[in-house]
Amino acid sequence: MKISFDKNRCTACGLCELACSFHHFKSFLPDKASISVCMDRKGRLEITTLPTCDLCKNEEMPMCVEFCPTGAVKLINKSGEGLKTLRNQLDKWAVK
Amino acid sequence: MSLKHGWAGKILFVNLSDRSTRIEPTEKYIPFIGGRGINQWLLFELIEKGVHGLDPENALILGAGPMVGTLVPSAGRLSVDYLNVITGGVGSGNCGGRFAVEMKNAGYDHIVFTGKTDRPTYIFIQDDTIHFRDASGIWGLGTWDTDEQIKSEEKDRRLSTLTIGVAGENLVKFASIIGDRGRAVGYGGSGAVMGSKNIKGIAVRGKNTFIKVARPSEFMNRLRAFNKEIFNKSGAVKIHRKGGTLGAYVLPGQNRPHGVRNMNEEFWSNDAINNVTRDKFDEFLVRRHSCFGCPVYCSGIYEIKGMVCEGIQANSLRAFGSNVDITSAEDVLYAHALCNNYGLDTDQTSAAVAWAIDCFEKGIIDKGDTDGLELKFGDGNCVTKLIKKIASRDGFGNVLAMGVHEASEIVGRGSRELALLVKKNSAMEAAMRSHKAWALGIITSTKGTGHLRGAPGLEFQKLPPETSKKLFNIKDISDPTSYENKAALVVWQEKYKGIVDMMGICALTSMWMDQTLFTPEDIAGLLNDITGKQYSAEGLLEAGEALQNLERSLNLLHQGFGRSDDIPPRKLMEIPVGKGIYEGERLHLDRWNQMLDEYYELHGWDKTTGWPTRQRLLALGLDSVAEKLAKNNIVENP
Repeated sequence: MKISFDKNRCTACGLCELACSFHHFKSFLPDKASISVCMDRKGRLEITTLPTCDLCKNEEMPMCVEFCPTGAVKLINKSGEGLKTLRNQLDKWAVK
Repeated sequence: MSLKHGWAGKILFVNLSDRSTRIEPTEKYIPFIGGRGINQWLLFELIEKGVHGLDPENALILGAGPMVGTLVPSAGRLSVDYLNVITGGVGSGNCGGRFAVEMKNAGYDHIVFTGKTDRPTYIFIQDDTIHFRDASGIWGLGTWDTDEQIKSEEKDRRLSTLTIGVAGENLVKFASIIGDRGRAVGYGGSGAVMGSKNIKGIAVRGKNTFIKVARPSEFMNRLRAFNKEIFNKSGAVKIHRKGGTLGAYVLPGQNRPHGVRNMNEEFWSNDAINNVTRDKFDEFLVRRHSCFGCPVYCSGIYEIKGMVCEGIQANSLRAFGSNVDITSAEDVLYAHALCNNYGLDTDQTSAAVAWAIDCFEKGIIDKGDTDGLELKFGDGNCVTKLIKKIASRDGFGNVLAMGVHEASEIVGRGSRELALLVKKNSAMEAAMRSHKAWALGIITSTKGTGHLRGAPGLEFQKLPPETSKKLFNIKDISDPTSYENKAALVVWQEKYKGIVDMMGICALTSMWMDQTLFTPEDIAGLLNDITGKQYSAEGLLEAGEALQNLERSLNLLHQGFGRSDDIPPRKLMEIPVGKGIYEGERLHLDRWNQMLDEYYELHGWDKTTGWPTRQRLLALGLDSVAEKLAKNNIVENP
């Protein structure tokens, strides 16, 4: 299983970074998260994950997946099938 | 540092004149909790009477509350406070984006800038290191290019910026700071304050300071329940996810009030509205974009005439749609984009432009005044030309750049009669004639108009008596046009908005618009889990009341504002709503005065002067405020 991103759905809210740092440290510092999201002025996204990601062991689901408001962050299996997103019914205005 | 949880713990003071810095513990200022609260307290303490908004002695104060940088949804706001360039009193704005979170992760709850650098400079705060960089190469750039250049120079795409454009450099009195390309710090000339200090930009990047939580498990349990049961079920959140306030308040067929043609009218035809509904703006939408830490994504990135801009909301539609009678989404968006890039407050820009057009159409001014421009309502070209002239202080733009109060003094010829001035600032709002609490909140606003103090959005929802009794202990506020019980609603909203701003929560996701969102009890619960302290809802509301008294005292100290400054502009009393569901509604001076009496009584202020009494200030623990007023010979019953 791994974390996958749908860049079209991401709004760069950074809640995944906050949630990730909370999982690791029980406190908040996005820079120390295992996930990083950066949107430039034209709306282009860079999303990266680090090897420190442990898919939030001991949590019901990865916290980045849980807190993503648009379903852009997903947990998928080896064949690429989506296992979990917070919202299956996406608001179409999450993206263009 | 004993504030181990929630707060970053430090306040950074930067003297721009000699480039010295010092640190104080946030704890020293803790009665005002954070955000706007501590900002305003610092402002009151630091600025002596006689200082002007553009003097080096003015302070530019940035503040983030104890919820900022946590997972509390939408709690990423930055409060920015300063002495107001137009009113001379409270200057205060608030923006989203990423700055507040980065600032806390750099270790600071607040940053205070005083003095002035001797040359164009930008500041880069990188955790404990404060860099002063030469900005002569970027002076003259727009806010977007300034942001880009700073990121490029510092080789860090993730840093967050506050920048000014040419309007701030030119000390346009209603210039705004722009946060992260698209978040404006409106009201009071924050951009001019920054420009007067020769500061082109402030950048921050925090890599070292964790925001700690006192009770992590309890916090997460409470937060998950709040998100599931309240936040994600909120009607306001659902609407704002479909395009921000633009989607919520501009709907055809409602015949609701709008600010139309220099606020001379409040009815805008459905034909006009049909041309500027949200879907018309969506044609220019690149994608939706959130502020950091906010699951609402009410903002968007738009492409218009080769420019990439952000964040149009209902305010800009009122500013460059109804108030100048433009019915082209393209023209409205273009005017909004220009203001963002120049760093202009859209409300006050609109007020100046609409006032000028009104003067022209009524024959008070002519082409001889306007550099040959013919001004008329509904002409997008004329509006954009005036915006450009204001930002660069070119010709007639130099007059408008002073704000309507001074501009009408320069023009004379009875032009002041066409303005809507309160405490020298322009009111540019819808529904002030019909919604009495809304009007009271705007006109008594300590920042000099604006709906982000005591103006209760819930008045628009016509809540049934049982709901208002339960929420506010007020028996009936269901009729917007009634003056009954409205003072109490405004006083409640002032206290509540104080809490929201002290935490760093966004007003759009608060009880301002939705009775279910962030009740004082919810806020106290989350705050206590984060900080480990024991705030009660009542205690927080009292802190909000203290903040209201503090700001009222600041206005009194610097400008002597009192009862006569809380009276509506003439037009709102003399020109009724012409059409629509509130046809015939206007403000009545006698009933206004009764409401004002009630408002002062509820605050415990002197009814004759409208001043906070010494007794009230002492009861709220504001002893030093009372002393400073007394030292400046400001005493009750003059």
